Amino acid sequence: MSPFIYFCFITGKTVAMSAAAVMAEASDLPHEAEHTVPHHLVAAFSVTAPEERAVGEDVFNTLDLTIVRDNSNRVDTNAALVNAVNDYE
Amino acid sequence: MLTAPLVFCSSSSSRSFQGSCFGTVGGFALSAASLGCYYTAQRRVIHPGHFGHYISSGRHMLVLPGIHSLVSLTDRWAEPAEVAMDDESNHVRAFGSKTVMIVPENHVGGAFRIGKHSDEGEDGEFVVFGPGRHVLPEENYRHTQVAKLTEGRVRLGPLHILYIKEGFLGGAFRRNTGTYEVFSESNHSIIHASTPNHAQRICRSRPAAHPAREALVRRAAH
Repeated sequence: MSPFIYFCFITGKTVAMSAAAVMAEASDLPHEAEHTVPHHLVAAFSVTAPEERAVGEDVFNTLDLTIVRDNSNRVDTNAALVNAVNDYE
Repeated sequence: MLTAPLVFCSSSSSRSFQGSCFGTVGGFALSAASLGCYYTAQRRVIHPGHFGHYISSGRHMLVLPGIHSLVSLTDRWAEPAEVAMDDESNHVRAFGSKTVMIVPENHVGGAFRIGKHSDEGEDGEFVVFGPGRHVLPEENYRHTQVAKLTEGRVRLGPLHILYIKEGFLGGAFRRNTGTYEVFSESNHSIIHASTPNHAQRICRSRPAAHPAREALVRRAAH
């Protein structure tokens, strides 16, 4: 057996034994160690959803100015949009 | 002898802009004479998610997805013939004299309205559009634009939308009086009920130009 093959055999054997030792040590850890975040902190991150939906018209503070809203040309469906574009009456 | 010219278009503004009936008759005749070859040549499939775009006697028209054939001699497909229904990169699209404006959520649209449409309205006033799709005739609106409400200061036509968060201050000069007015977060309005910490102001006043007050938004702690 050449020295190079012997060196590779010894190195591979050492690496395999080290990996097996690490895996055995990791399997002995208690399952509670996975939960590193305390429960009171988890509760602090919980977000309560608002009752109102985030849709609809935006409400601006207009500084006593009259900001005119014009939704008279709004269309709801594709058919209504096509009819509005094709309307040349 | 001088005679007064005859006016044949005295009530042209009240007439509808219709297509050419002669073109339609000619198209059917040509289709029959060519044994349907002309009809087949004008046939096009509009795929789902797109509108078909064609021009009929100078009018830009749209059709829904499906198989369509332009029979009239005065009709021709526009280039491109297929346009996406919702183009996220382009919120304002013009189809002839019609402008299709898409205002997504967290956006605001605006345009100058031509003419006086109500007793309270003024000619040339700037109006704001809510979320949704709007079809605006070119003869009634100009300078149509859509702005996204993400920056601290958004420009929309003559309007400045200040987005003042908690812990910040804003301010502007009042054009009529010349006085500087500071806006705090104490009397903010709310964009959406779901985001109560976000507030903004909207004003027509000229933004602050004074060096000491030039910073429209700065931390209250400083």
